[in-house]
Order: sequence, then structure tokens, then C-alpha cells
Amino acid sequence: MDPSQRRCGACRFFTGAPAALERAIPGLNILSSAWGSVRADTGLCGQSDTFVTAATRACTAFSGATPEDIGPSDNRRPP
Amino acid sequence: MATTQEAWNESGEAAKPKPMGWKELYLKEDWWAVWLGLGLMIFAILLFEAGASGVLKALAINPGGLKWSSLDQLGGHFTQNANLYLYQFLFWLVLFGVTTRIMGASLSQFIPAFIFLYVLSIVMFAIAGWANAARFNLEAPLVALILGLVIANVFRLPAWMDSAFRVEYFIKLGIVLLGATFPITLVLTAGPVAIAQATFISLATCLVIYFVATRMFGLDRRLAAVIGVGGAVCGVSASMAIAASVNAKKEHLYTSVTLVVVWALVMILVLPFVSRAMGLNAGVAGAWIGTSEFADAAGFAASSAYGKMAGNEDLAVKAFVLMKVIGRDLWIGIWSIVWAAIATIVWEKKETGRTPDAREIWWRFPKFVIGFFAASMLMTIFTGGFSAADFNSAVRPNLILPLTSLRTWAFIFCFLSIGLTTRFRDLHSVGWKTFWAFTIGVGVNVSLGYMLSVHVFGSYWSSI
Repeated sequence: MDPSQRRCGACRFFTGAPAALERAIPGLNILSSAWGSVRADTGLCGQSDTFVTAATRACTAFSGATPEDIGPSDNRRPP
Repeated sequence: MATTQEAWNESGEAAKPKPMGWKELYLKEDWWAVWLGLGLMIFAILLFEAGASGVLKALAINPGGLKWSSLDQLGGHFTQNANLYLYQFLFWLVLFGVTTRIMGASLSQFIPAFIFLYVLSIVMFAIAGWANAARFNLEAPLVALILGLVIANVFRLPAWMDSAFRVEYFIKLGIVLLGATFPITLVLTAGPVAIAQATFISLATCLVIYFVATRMFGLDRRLAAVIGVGGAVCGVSASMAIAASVNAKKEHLYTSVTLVVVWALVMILVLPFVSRAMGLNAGVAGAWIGTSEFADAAGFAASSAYGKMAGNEDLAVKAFVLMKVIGRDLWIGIWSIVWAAIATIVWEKKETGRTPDAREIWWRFPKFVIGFFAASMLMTIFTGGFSAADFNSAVRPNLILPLTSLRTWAFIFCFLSIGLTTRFRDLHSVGWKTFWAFTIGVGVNVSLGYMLSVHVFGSYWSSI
């Protein structure tokens, strides 16, 4: 794949699954929700510990996700 | 616009993530709130037209209006209607269980937790239905919140139970159902006033928090932006919406969660009593709470509680919805774009995550509001064909009141869930500078909201 085409959402360091995000940030579900439309495709980068969108152009630390990282029900584990 | 799970292509390399697209229609709780809310409303209208409103009334049963004065009386109500409560429980369990399962929840976790939530909700309604409840300020939203907080922090419920304590899902469904009793003409006439007032206050609050945080206390501007929109727009949801725009760190959002939750809880408990001490009109207090509270669920709890105290819950909730949902929530996508532009154009490039994209206005649009508008329009059109006498004698008792009861159930689930998910030990510690930057913003927000709601637009909000 052309490195310029790589996006954060396909990186193993990206946590975008709602359940995983709510586990990563305790209290997020009290007055908000990772399942809401407002979040859109925002997720957490485990490499830089910052929020990015799935469509953000990936950085040099990009590492492709494996099916095991992704899991069957979008419950991708934080790295 | 979220990623799909097919990020691993056939050639074995990481693929470009695909937009969620139509999958959003069944993977986001906003859309489920729309489908359930409109579905319930259409079901109710069909039953009404078929002369079978008894089914709807049975599903909407609650002891809140019982005004019982002895436990025998309360017990008699439950004994007499045990089968109806069983059907109602199954009704809610299937609706929420199936939809949360589709969104990814585990039914083995959801079902026991929901049973617990339903039983607690029955207790809440029973307390609210006590003849002396109002005398002791036992307003259902406040009692539900406090009871939930006590249970979550004293008895340490397991975290997996959160799968049924979906605060946002319940409040979104409640808001869509609220649309069924909200004339679209009111949205159209009062909406612009709400938008003007809310925008002015939101801008002022966000700028105050940002400049106090960065100029006075020298805090990270990404943190300042995240807590700024958290205090000014819609709490943690707003913070999360702009987190990627400014490339915020995880601890920034975690800090916003703590600040928003603590201040929102304080205001749920304080604003209704302050409003009562001032003798505010229910509509005026609803508008004030709408500009002051950060989150929809917290604001509903406060405005509903005060509405009950003032004897006009409907007016307080309507003013709150206009101010909070129409005036503030709708515009979150624009806030996200503006912060992305600031981060890209004004801040140093190395700190930015991405460039602004106008499509975010739609991507981050709180879709449940579409359901609110649709319900409002649909019911306005349907009831427009009835005379005032027919409306009061037939439509109100057989259609509107049962829908209102279903909405109240959704709100009680929500208020309990706020308390049950708030585990203070899980919250992030916050530095004093950050705390004061946010708190000064809260002070500005509440003061401006009071000035505009009470002194500038007071006569307007009291007569909507």
C-alpha cells in the first residue's frame, strides 16, 4: 500500500470501537457515549496517546492491524 | 464515518478504512433512538385509530400518579397489575436488549443489569407516587440520581452492568418521544431566540475558559480547547467531538470527563432549589438550566425536577429542550470545524491532527434530533384534524398521556443510570489550575444564562 494512503483507522494502535473507548476512558459513559453520532470516527491512538479520526493520514509509526487486533465485534483492544 | 472491521485486505496489508456509511443507521444509538421513538409513536397512533388504546395504556403503566398513602394501597396496585408490569418489562427488555445487542453489547451482561435497572425504576416511580412526595422534595429525577450514586459508590457494582445503564441512549429516546408532545410551531417560533441566546453564552463561556486556561494559568491549549467546549457546548460529547480536531491527548478528555461530571452533578442538585428560592417561572428556569447544564441528561434531570417543584414540568422541559438541544447541541459539528481551523491555521502545524472538513457538520450532527423534529411534525399534523374538545377528551388521554408515560420511563432509566455509572473513584484527578479555569467559565456561563433567561428574555420564556 502507498504509505500516503494509510489511515489511522487501519492501524493496530487505533482504538475506535465504542466499548473499547469507554473502557479506555472510565467515566466517558456517565454523561456521554462512545456510541453516539457526535463522536463520528474519532478514536484513540495508543502510540501517541492522542485522539485522531479513522481517516487521519497515518504517521510513521503506522502498523497495520491484524484480524486478531480487530476482533469479531469491533471490540478492538487498546494496544 | 467510522471504520469498518474489514481493515485487513486479501493481500494481507492494512487497508484504508472505509466509511461506516449506511451501517451508522443500526450501529449508532442516535439512529436507534430515532427508530424506536418514531416506531413507538406510529404504533401508538395506529392503536388509537383502531380504538385499541388500552394496549398502549397497559404498556405505559406506572405507579407515579397513584398518590398512595399506605403501603397496602401501593401493594394492591402492584398485585392487581402484576401481569401488566411483566408485559411492560418484557417490552422494554426486548426493545433495548435487541438494539444494544445489534450495537455490540453482550446480552448475558445486559439482561441481568436491565432487570436491576427496571426494578429500581419501579421503586423510583413508587416513591414519586407517594401522596407526600412533593412535601419532602422527593422529585423522581433527584431521588433516582442520589440513589444511583449511593449504590454505585457504596456497593461497587461490577463494571459490566454499565452495558444496560445507557444514559445517552435513554435520554435520546426520551427526547424523540418528547417531540410527540412538542408543537412544531413552538420549535419554529422559539428556536431562533434559543439559538441566539445559547450561541452568545456558549461563545463567551468557551472563550473565557480558553483564555483563562492559556493566558492566566499557562495550560496546554489543546486541554483548554477541550474543556472550553465541554463547559460551553455539550459536555463530554463536545470535548470528544473536538478532541481529534486539536489532536488532544487522552488525559485531556479524561480531565474534561471529571470536570463535566462533577459540575453537572452539582448543578442538578443546586439549580432546581436556587430556582425555587428565587421563585422563577418554570419556563424561565428551564431556559436558564438549558444554558447552564453541560449534558442533556443532567439538564433534563434538573429541569424536570424544578418543573415538578413549580407545578409545570412541561413548560420547564420545553424551554430546556429549546435552549439546550436546539440552541446548543445542533451546532457541535461547526465547533469541531472551527477548532480544526484554529489548530491548523493559527497553531503550529506540528500540533495539528488534520484539516477542517465541512462534512463534519453532518458526520457529528446529533442524529436523534431528526427524530425529535419528525415526531413533532408528525404529531402536529395528526392532531391538527381534531377539535380542541376532541383533543382533550380523546386524544390526550388515549394517545398523548400514554406516550408521555413511556417518555417518563426512558427518563427514569436515564436518571438512575447517571448515578449508577458515576463511580467517583474512577474519575481522573484534576489540577487546581484546570479546575479553576473551568470553574470560572461555569461562573460566567451560569451568570450570563441567568441574566439573559431572567432579565432579558424572562417574559418570553415564561410565556412559550
